Amino acid sequence: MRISDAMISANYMKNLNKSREKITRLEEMISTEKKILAPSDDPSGTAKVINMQTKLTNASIYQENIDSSLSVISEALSSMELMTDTTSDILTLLTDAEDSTLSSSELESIADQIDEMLSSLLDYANQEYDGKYLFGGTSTSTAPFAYSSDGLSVVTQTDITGTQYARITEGILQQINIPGSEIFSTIITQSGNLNSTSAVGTASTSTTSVYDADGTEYTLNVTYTKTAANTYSMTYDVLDSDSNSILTSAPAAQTFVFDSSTGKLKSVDGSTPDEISISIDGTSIEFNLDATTLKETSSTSTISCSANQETNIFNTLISIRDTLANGDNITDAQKEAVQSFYDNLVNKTSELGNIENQINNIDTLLTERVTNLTEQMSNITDADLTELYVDLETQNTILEMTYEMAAMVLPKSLLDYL
Amino acid sequence: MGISRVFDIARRSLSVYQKALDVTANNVANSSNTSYSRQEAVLQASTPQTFGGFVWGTGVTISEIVRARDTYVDTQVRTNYQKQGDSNLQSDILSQIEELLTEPSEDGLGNYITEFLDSWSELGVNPSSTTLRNNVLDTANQLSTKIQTLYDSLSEIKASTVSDFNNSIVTLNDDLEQIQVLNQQIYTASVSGASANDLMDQRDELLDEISSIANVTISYDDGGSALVSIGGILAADRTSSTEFTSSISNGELQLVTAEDGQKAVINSGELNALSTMYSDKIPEYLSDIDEVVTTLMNSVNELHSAGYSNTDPTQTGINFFSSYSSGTLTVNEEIVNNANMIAASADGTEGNGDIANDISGLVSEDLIDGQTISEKYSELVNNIASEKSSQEGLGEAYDLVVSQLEEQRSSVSGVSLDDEMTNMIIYQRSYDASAQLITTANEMLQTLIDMV
Repeated sequence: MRISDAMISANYMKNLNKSREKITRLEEMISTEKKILAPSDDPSGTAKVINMQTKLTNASIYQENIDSSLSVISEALSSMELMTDTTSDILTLLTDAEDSTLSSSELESIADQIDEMLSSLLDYANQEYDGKYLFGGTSTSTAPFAYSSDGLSVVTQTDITGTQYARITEGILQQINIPGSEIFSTIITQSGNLNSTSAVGTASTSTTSVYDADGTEYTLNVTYTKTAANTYSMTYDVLDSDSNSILTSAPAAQTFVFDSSTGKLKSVDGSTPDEISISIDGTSIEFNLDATTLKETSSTSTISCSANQETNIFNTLISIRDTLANGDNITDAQKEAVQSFYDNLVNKTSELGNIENQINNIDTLLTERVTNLTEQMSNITDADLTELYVDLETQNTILEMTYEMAAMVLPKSLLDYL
Repeated sequence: MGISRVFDIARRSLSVYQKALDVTANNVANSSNTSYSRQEAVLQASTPQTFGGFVWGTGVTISEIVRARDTYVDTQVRTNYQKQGDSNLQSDILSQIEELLTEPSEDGLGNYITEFLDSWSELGVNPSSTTLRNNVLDTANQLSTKIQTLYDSLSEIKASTVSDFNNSIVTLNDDLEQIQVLNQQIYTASVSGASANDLMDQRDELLDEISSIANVTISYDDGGSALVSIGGILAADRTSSTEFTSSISNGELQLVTAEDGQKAVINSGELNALSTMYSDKIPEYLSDIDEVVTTLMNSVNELHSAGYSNTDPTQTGINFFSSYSSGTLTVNEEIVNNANMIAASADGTEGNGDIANDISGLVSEDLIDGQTISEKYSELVNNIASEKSSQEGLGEAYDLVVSQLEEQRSSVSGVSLDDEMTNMIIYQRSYDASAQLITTANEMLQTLIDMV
C-alpha cells in the first residue's frame, strides 16, 4: 500500500483523538462516580433507575406518613390508657359504693370523686393533638363531646364515626384512628341475612332496645322491605314503653343494594356502605346503625340487632353521680354499663396497639426496601472506581506512546537525508 | 545524421524534465491540501525517425499529466458520507433531547410526577393541614413548570431543525451552482486540450460536500460533466443547476424545487436526519408526553371532582387541573387562590383524606396500556435513549468505514514527500545528464571547428 503524508497525519490524529475521547470519558466517570452519564449510555438501565427512583421517593414519603401516623397513634394510645386507668378507678369506687351501710355523706363524697373522674374522661375524649381532636372520627376541628345546653347530659356534637387512613405502601391504606363512635357511642350492629328469593314487598323487621341520656328504655324497630331484586328499602321507628312512636316524622327510607353474586351489601343510597349515624330530634337518643355485615342469601330471613354498649358512658356516669348524690345505691345495670365501656375500651386500645405494631413492621420493611433499592440503583449507575483508575492508567500509557510515536515518525522524510 | 541531433534530443529532455519538476513542485506545494489529487507527468519516448535503414530515437516527451484518482472509492466514500451525515446528525439532535430529560436524576419529569402524587399521600394523613395543602399545590406547580420547560425545549429543538434544514439547503444550492460552473469550465478545458485536473479536484470536493447533505446520485456524461440528481430530481449538469427550498406539508419537512415545488425523495444525508426528527421523532416524543400528562390530569380530576373541599360550606365537583394543552398544565385557579379548595375529603368532614389517599394511589395504578405513569415515562426515556444509542453506534460505524475509505483514497491520491523527493532527484539527474550531453555535443562541434 502506498502511504501518503496525509495518511500518516490523519491516522495519527484519529488515534490521538480516540485516546483523548476515552480519557475524557473516564475522567468524567471518575469525577461523577457514575457510569451512566446520559440515558443512552444504558437505556434499559436508565428506565430501571427511573422506576426505582419512583419507588424510592414513594418509600421516603410513606416513611414520613408512618412517622406522622405513629405520633397521632401514640398520642391516642396514651389518652386511651389514661381513660382505662380512670375507668378502672371508677369501677373500684362503684364496688365500694355497693356497700349498703354507707352513709349518704359517704355516698356523696363518692359522687364528688365520680364527678371529677367524669370530667377527666371528658377531657381525654376531647384530647387534641396538633390542633385536631383525636376521637372525633374525621371531624377533627370541633370537640366531639360537650354538655348539652341544659347542662344535664353530654351530647355528641359532630359525626364521630369517620375512619382516617394513611398510605403506608403503594398497596396499603392503613387505618390510623379508632373512631370515637367505637369507644363512646352505641353501635347497633345489624347481623343475619335477608332472603333473596322472597317476593317484592316482603318486610323483615328486627328489634332491640335503645336508651336516652337518662337511661330510659325505648324500642327500636328496623325494617327492610324488598322493592326489587337485591334491593331493599330500610326504615326504622323508635317506640316508647307504651308502644307509641316518638318520631315526629317518619325517617327517609334508605335504599340498600346487595351484590347479586356475593350477597354482600354493595351500596346504601348509592354510596359505599358505612355506619348510619342516627339521633332522634327532641330526645337525647343517639346511636349508630352498622348494617355493613348484613347479607342476602337464598335462605329464610333471620335478622337481629345487638349493641356494643347500650348507653353513653358520660350520661351513665352522670346518672350514677346523681344517684349517689341523692344518697341512693347504684343499680347493677349502671355498674354493668361502666364495665362494658371498660371492656370495650381495653379491646379498642389493643386494636390500636396492633395497628401501631403493624405500622412499625411496615416501617422496617420500607427501611429494608430503601436499602435494597439504593444498592440496586448503585449497581446500575455507580462506577467502579478501581476499574476506572486501571482503565485510565492504560489509556494514559497509550496516549504517551502515541505522542512518542508521533515525535519519532511525523517529522521524518527523505528530506532529512538529502 | 549530424551532431545537431544530440542537441535536439538533449534540448527536448531539458524541457521535459523541467516540466516534470514543475509537476513535482505543484505536488509538493499541495502536499497539505487534502482535496488535492497527486498529479504525475507520464514520460514517453517521442516518435522515432527512420533514416538510412535505422530507427533513430528522438528522445523523450510528456504524453499527459494524469490525476491519481480512484473513482470507485469516490463512489463508496460518497455513499457512506450520506449515511454518516444522517446518523451523526440524528445522534447529535437526540443527545440534545436526552440532555433535556436530565435522567437519571432527581430532576427528571418522572420524579416530579412521583413527588406530586406522593404529596397527596402526605395530605391524606393530615387532610386539614394548610402546609400540606400548599405542598400539594407547590409540587403541582413544579410539575407543570417542568412539563412546560420540557415541552418548550423540545419544540425549540423542533423549530431549530427547520432552520438547520434551510441552512443546509443554502449550502446545497450554492454547491450545485458551482458544480454546474465547474462542469462548464472542465468541458471547455478538455475541448481545448488543456488539463482540467485542478478544476476536477475542486468539483470532487463539492460533490463530497453535497453527499453528506442529501442522498445524491452522481454520474458522468461523455464530456466529463458530473450529472447530479437528488431524490429523483436532476440537480446539476453542464448547462443548469436546480434551486431547492424547503416546504412543510402535513407536518412533514420536505425538500422541494424552488421553481415548481416538485418533491425530492430524501432518505439519507443530513437533510433526512433533520426531516425525520421534525416529522416523526419529535412529534412522537411530544405526543408521548401529552399522553402521560393528559392521563395524569384526567385521573387526578376524576377522583378530585368526587371529593369535598375544606371550605365552609364544603364544595364538590372541583377539578384539580383546569386544562392541559401543548405543554401547559394549568392548576384550577380557585385552588391556586385557596388551597382549602383542594378536595381531599370523601364525605365533607375535614379529617377525611380518602380522596387524597386515592389520588396518591395513582402512583402504582396501571393507567396507560397496562403501565403506571412512571413506567410509561421511563419507556419514553428508554425509547429516546435507545434511538440515540443506536444512531450513535451507526454513526461510529460509518465514521470507521469513511475513515478507511478516505485512507484508501489518500493512498491513491495523496502526496508523499518521499515520492516527490525521489522523483525530484531523478528528474534533476536526468536534467543534469541532458545538460552534460549538450556540453559534450558542443565540445564535439568545437573539435570539428578546430579541425578546419
